[in-house]
Amino acid sequence: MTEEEIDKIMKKIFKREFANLDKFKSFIENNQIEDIDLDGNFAELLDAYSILLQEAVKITKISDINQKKLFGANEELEKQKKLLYLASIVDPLLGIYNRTYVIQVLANEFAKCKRYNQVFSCILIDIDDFKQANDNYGHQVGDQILIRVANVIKKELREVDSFGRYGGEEFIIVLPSTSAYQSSHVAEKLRQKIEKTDYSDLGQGVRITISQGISDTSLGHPDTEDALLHHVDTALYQAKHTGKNRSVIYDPNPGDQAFKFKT
Amino acid sequence: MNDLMISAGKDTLGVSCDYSTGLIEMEGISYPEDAAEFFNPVFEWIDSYIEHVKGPIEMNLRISYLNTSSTKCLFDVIDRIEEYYKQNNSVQVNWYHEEDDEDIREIGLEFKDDMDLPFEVISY
Repeated sequence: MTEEEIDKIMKKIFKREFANLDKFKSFIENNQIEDIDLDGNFAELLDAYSILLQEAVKITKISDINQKKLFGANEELEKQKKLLYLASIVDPLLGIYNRTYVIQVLANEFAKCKRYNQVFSCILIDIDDFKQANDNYGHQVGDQILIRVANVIKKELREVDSFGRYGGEEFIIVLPSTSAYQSSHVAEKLRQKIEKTDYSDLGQGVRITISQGISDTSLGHPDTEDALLHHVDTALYQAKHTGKNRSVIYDPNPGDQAFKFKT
Repeated sequence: MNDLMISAGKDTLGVSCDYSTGLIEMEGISYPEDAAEFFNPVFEWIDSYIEHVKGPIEMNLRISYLNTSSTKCLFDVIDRIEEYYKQNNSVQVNWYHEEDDEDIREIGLEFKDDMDLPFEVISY
């Protein structure tokens, strides 16, 4: 809308007030001041001015209330937007990032490292024999195991690391500026903590261990984030098939023996 | 004389004016591009009712947002009804607000405070 159009609307809204103004202006312009009833007209003008001022005060007050209401609604909307965003990136059961978000972090980290020729690593974690625990103790206990394992891992990580649920009982960690070798120490600490955690309140004989696949952006020179994921998956597969409850670094030359950690 | 019915739009109030009962109802939010144009049929209807029907007026307002132009127009609507009340006619204005909507209640009280006519601020 042009300024002219807005002015036109305002003239319509304040029709009565503009009419008053025109009336009294015309008295002056036509030199009628001496001919008119000064007392009566002054009283009329004063009355119109009082009404206008009173209305202006009220309208200002009401506008302020409305603005406050609008800003309040806006703040609430922003809060809801944040909650919605959080819900879209967080696993509702575990309160850690979901697969979509961690894969996004991984892709961003991969692009950054490629550009600046840096290294970062990734750990893929799978709870050993989780399906069996689920079958033996029920899904509710299964959920509690997932929560406990996630909490143990969360406590051991740095602020810069991104930790999420990769699948059912699989977790993934992205560790910026860290080689696979350095990450293997983190993985080993996690493995030991998970193994030593007490699960007896969840059911008699519940024992939980994890297997882990580790790799980084220099081992085997993955050219995409999917290739890196494939590497950690291969290492995890190896950890599973060489006895579980262990951490294996990806071996780009499968002829040689993979680097293993096991207590 | 006819009834007046305006359906609520995304930025305009729903309005209904019933000439047989003198019941005027406005509901919704109001921030039209041209408030004068939107409220003009309401002014015309009220003026015509006052001139030809001369019956009682009850106005129920359920408004959750008003921009400044609409506020001025609503003042003018209530001014007309106030003038009619001062001529010894039966008039009642009811301003409804949701129980927890303190802002709208406050706006209702600002209108009430300015007017010399029966004006109730009612929560629902």
